[in-house]
Amino acid sequence: MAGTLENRLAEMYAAESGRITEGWPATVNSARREALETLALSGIPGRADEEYRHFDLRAMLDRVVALAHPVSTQEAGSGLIEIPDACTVILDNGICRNRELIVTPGGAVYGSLRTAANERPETVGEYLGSPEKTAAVSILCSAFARDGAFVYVPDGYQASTPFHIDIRYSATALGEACFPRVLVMVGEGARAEIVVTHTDNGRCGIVAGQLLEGVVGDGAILDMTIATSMRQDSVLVTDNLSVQGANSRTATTAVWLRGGATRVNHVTGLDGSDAETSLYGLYLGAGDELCDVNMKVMHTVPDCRSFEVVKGVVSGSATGAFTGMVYVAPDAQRTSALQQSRNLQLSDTSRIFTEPQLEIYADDVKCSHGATVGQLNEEEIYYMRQRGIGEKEARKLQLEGFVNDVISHCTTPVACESITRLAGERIAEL
Amino acid sequence: MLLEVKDLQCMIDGKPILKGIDLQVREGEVHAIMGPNGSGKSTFASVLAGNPRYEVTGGSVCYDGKDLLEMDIEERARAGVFLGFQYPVEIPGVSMANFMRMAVNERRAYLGEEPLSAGEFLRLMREKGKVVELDSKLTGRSVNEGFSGGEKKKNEIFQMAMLEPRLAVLDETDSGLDIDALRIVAAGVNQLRRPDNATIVITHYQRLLDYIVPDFVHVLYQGRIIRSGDKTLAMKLEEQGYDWLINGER
Repeated sequence: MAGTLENRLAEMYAAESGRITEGWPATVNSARREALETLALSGIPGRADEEYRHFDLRAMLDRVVALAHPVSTQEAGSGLIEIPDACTVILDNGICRNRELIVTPGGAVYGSLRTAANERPETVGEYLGSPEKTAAVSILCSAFARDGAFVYVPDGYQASTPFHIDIRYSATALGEACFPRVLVMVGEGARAEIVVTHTDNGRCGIVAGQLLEGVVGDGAILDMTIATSMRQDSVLVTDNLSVQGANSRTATTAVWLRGGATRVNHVTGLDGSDAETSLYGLYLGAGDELCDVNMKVMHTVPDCRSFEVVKGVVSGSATGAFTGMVYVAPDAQRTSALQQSRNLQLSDTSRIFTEPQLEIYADDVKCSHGATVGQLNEEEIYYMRQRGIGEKEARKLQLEGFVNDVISHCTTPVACESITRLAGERIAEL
Repeated sequence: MLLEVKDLQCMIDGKPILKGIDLQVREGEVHAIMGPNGSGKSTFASVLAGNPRYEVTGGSVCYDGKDLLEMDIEERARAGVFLGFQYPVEIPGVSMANFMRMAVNERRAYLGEEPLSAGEFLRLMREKGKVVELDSKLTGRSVNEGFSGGEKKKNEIFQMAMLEPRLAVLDETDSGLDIDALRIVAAGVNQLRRPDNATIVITHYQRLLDYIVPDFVHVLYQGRIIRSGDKTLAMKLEEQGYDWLINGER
């Protein structure tokens, strides 16, 4: 029956609303009701919807019965990677471990999003209460987030230590869900490095939705690294939405190492001229895993540049999907955009769907896109074997080459090392 | 005898290419194999290296007392068979240093030697890079990626220097090289000549043989060696071409 899932989610909200709304300002909580109403109207997309044809969000959410409870530190397990010197925000099942916000000597602020909503409403209010969200994952997070992570870098501040948002999930029973939010604000002319990791340490897989919003001011620089490693029975859906001001630059390196079903919506709005964004993405799929990466870059003003390379490797009967969209508005002259999807299929039963797209309404632009799907290069393997390197090692080297090409763009050295190591371990399983 | 090839025959996609090659190479010797396009020179090199595209249909190859055709590609390499590729492959994302270190340590393991430490390896890279005047920046890059044609060929000889093979087969190493690069590559090969190793140089032109002086020259035509001689044979070919040989053969 149509609407059943939406009704059940509304019922779940009603049952848990005390816990969900606890400690939040009224403005945020009233936006939750609006979000649920929007959800009831628009419905959660599934296979029948173009954008979700490879990832049946309805079916994935169907198993949700309750929100995940806060767990003990021990149960939460360890984070995916550790960055010793970073300003770290740990979320255990979506709840920030520390209630207090931390202010660095330079004036940067980080910690619990809920606390930030209370203590700094003038800064975060506008984003948390935003009723404009139309994407299903964003709406779910707007309605259900019990907490989240907050990073604020004031105008002109050059943050020298990275921020690490360490998201840990730990479900105790099947059907538990968690919907954390992350808000990152980088002020005018400021610079920040942010690492976001997701890992799943529970007794069974979680259903996790995450909404990350990035607000990047004029002339600001944001280097972001995203890494996820989830259980085989988990679902992770993420909306990463960023808006950039004039002359700003963002660079994202994202590595989806493992996970039963992973969906990424990476949307960047270039709202000020001379802004630049790049995305280096990589997903690795084995068994019957599914990873579906959707990216959108909106060139709404002239003279912006965007660059995306998303690579995928699938083995077993895994499925990888890439849908890219570069939108160039009628006035966005002198746009430069490049979009590439490169994929390796290691088995006959794995599948790749790739669909890079351009939608261009301006006439003076330089845009290109491309997609490749192939197997390991036998000539390269022959060459390596002729130098004495065993066949298995040669294949591994070649795969490492393919993936390190993406990971090497990570600008946070400790994260880069850890992710390279984790990817190496993962490759051995492919 | 380091290498003894007897009546070697092979096919690709059902088409016979080598139709019975006989060749004997002793330690310390340099052999040149010449011949017109399509005569099977590169195929012969590939078969020695074990390229899976070629199907050996007859004959035998004995290398250092072992049946070479029974060995895997990497086993042959570890045992000291080196192929200098006509078209060296670019391997994006695989660092030259990492690649070479694995290769060198595989060869050392075969010889019963301990693997090199990182420091020893880097010293060896620097030392051997000088053999072919290889820009040290290149060894910091991915294998052959963004190398010019000349740099790729120099890199082949550099790898040969690193691996110290007993039998090096250089497949048209001179093709695509300008005269300076040719001189450097040839000087590298000459520097690596030792009484206990041997080189087979496959070439189109006599020019290379001005720099790498062969002990024997063989002419390959339609999958067979139709004439063998000393270096004067190469000079005669340069002057008169292959016609006199080919027509004589018919």
